[in-house]
Amino acid sequence: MNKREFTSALRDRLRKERVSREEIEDALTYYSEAIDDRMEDGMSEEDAVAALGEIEQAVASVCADRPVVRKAISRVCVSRTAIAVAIVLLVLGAIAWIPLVLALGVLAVAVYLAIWALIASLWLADASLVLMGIVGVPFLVHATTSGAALSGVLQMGCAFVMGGLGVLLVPVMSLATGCLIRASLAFARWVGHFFMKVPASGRAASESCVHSWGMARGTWRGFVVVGGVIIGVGLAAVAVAWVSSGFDLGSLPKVPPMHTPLGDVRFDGLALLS
Amino acid sequence: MDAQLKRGLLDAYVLAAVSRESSYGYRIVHDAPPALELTESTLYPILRRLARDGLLLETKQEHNGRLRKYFSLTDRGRDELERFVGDIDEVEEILTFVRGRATR
Repeated sequence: MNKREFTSALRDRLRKERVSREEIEDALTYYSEAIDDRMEDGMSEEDAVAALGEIEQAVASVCADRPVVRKAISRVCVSRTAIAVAIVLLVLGAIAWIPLVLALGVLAVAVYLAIWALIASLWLADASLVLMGIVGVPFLVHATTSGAALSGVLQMGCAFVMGGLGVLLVPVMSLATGCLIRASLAFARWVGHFFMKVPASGRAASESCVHSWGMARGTWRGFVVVGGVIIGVGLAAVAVAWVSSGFDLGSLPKVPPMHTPLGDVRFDGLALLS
Repeated sequence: MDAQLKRGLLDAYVLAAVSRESSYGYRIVHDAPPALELTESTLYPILRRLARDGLLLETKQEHNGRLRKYFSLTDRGRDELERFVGDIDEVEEILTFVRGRATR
């Protein structure tokens, strides 16, 4: 067999296997290069072709790592009778496979959404902590104008501890988000690998998930310092209120609800402490 | 050699074969240790997979009036090769044990 015969036979076989035109061209380039190189090395054309082995091995080398679904399709598509049988089976079996495929699709989407919902709820919880800290300041002003300054200091202290905790948790959130996003991508990739070739994500991705905090070292240190300071101020405020109340926080007067355009804000730091 | 045993070594061989300078299909096959029994058909899917996973870089260069595809190692490919070399000590430990038990 000479080079031209080999390449045209390989092309025919790969077409029968429903290999894409692009992949066929890539394989033909590779195998003709191998023949040319052997001939340059002193082999005759026939010997160079023979050295490549059976044509079926070359076919297998191209089809080896095709995705599961496409492999199955190409296996079915080799003969017209097989196609006809497959169509009949698909139509007859529609009652079973349509709900099954739908269910699997919905399941895949649900897992994907669940991962993102988890990310969103983590951040919402964290944001509400920070919001609590921010509300502490106007509440102190409100308590002072209502004549219950010490209660306001106590409430603001509690609010700051919560808010500081929220700031402190941001790097942890960011790390968790990074891991979850990677998990969702890995899942999407896993679903995808049945249908198309997906590059391996590599071990590096999962390692970086553990070793980096998802943000620069300086940034997450900043969050820790700021969060720590806010918590410190909050604890100091609680301590001031505690000492000034004669070590009995229960004796502090209640602060009336604060009226805001969004509704009334009640703040009961004592409930948090007791 | 046992096919399963060989499979893991093939990737490492291909990465090592292009590590010093870029190489091409025929030369990679030609340079392979005979024990690997590497053929063009065995090499083809490995090259494609390693290139797709970003361990190898493909470049086309002209040679004797035709284009030849050269493969070279990416940074990730070099990491992978180093990881394999790092594993060799552990493999040797296992082999020593197996040989010790198998020979009486």
